[in-house]
Amino acid sequence: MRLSYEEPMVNKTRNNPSRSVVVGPGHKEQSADNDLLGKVFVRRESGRRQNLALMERTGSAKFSDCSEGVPPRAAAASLLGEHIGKELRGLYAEVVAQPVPERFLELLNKLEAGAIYLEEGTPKPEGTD
Amino acid sequence: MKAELVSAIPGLRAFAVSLCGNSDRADDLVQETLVKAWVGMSSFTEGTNLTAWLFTILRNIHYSDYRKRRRETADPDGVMAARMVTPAAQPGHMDFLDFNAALQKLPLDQREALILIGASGLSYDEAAEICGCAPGTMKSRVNRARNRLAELLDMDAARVAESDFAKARADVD
Repeated sequence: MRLSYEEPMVNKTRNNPSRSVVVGPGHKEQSADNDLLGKVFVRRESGRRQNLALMERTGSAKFSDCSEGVPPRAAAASLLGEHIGKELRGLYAEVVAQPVPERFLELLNKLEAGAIYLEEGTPKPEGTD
Repeated sequence: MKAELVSAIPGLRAFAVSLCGNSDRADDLVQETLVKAWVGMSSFTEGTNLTAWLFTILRNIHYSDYRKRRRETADPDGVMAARMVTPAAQPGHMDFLDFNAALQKLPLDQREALILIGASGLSYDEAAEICGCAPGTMKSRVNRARNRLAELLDMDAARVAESDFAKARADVD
């Protein structure tokens, strides 16, 4: 599956071995980010993608630090792709799991009994609105 | 035939809901589909996939309604139609744009491709037959749908993240 993300940051990260764990001045900021992540997570079940976007926004350097070897954009893309698949199947499965509404059983009974008759091509049977 | 139709209803409803994004409208579509299927039963070939046949009927009804509605509202670009499905955006709040709303923003051909391939369990060949296109076309529609959806979801998440970040910054300062 292809996602619309730009070139992964693999090379950037590899060519920059000096990038390691950030300490010192960055520390305060990082704790603020952590609070932020918590808030976003609570707000919505599917917080994962927000979380990702947040990481992208608030400093992908930190993200790449904490998941070594995984280019952040590629990781974000694959998680987003996974998320789409899951949401889609979830939406579908939710409806499939619902019981068949009574109106359809009644409709089929009527059709079977010949109580509804219509010519093929007629857009809507009478009295079914 | 009746029993088979009954057992196909859950899948038909799921297809209809994800296609039109509205459960009332979806059930109307299913109802019309069942009536047409019953009347046109003779055109169904025994031994072939009943679900695929029903999906084709439902899809065709949806398309013709969609075209009719666009004509009636004099909205050739579907701008109003898109607006009716998706509530207005409130910057900084995530809740307004959930997955279903994003899905409804996709062009109809891409949306149905994504649903058929990504959720219904039908094969590319079956899906292509339902949509009256080549399997290759199906594949490219699915790809475009996924890319567009990823963009919509990411854009949305990014907007929320930005405003939350600004708020958190203000709290810290």
